[in-house]
Amino acid sequence: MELKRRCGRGDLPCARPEGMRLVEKPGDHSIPKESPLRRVLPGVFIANLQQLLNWGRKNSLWYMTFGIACCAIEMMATGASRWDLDRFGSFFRASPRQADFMFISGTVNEKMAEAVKLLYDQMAEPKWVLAMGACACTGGPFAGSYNVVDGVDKIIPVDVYVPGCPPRPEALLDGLLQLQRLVGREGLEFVPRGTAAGAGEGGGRS
Amino acid sequence: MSGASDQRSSTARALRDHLAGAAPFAETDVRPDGEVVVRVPPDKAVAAAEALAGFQPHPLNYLSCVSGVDRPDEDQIEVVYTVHSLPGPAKASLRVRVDRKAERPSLPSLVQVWPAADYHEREVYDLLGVWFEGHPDLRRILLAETFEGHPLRKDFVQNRPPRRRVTREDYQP
Ligand code: SF4
Repeated sequence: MELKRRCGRGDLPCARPEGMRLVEKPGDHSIPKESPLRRVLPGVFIANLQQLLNWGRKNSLWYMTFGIACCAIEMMATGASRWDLDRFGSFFRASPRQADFMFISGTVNEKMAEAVKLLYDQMAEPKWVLAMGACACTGGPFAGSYNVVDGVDKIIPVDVYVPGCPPRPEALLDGLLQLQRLVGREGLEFVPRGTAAGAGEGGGRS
Repeated sequence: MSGASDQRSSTARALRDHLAGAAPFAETDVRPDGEVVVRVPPDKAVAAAEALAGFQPHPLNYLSCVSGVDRPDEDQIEVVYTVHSLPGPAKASLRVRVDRKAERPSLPSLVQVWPAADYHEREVYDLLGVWFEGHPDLRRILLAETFEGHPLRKDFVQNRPPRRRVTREDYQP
């Protein structure tokens, strides 16, 4: 969340995570008067580690350079300058090892499914998946066809579904914001996907 | 008539005359756009392809497409090789038919004449189940190796094996 408050130093606006307290004026009663922290004021943030971590994660969600079908064109448009995913801290990364999440942008057929699954497995935890378009959500116009996986959640867990054929960039941006909300609610203790809590119904951990 | 279409039809006539000498078994037909349709039986396909590729001064050396056409009413599958000439305006389509009821309908591969036929013939094999004898690497190209059946045959829907849902268990590492 962007705040219009000023940091202690100069006029720079500062972003701070929800729940973090900005200690900025004397008389702020979150810190006792006699605490040594008072001596380094202003410019000190007090936060719990979980919120800090989630704040960092959700504002630097890097996604994998991976487009499957027509939806990928729309995803590229969203990444380019007009809609500009970069302003939310999201960039294309060319390697699954560096990616935090993956847009499944298009029709996953049964041959492609193996590649999708492999790439998903290669991504480092924590990782998220955003299913983009009717095809990735349910099979869309090709549902029930001889070679199409009816929804990518049949093979990997999906966190956010963005319907549409293809979804407009605005819808995709909204999907990203939903994903950020989800990431912001993560717990500190980490449950890998596919184990007890994460497996099963294709939903996220939250 | 414009010069270009004059040239196209004279090229088409020359190609037909050339084929009458080089491939007398072929049934030829000229379409209004100057495309020469060449129909041959399967065992003569390679000879006809070589005759087309040897046409002078416009050798038909550019294979632009191979299509498979299922004709269930005639119990045949037709494979159409669309060829063009890079140096000139000649174009032709070589059509070979095979009995679709056969257990393994097979045709001679034309990769030795037009190397570009490689992937195209794999596609026809994949989707229609035509076996190309002499092809260097005849595997499925679009569908997974485990796929059963050839989905572009008109009767695939009636004959296909019961659909098995893909589940997450299929893709465990
Ligand atoms: S949802 Fe529509 S636009 Fe997206 S991949 Fe499927 S068919 Fe293409």
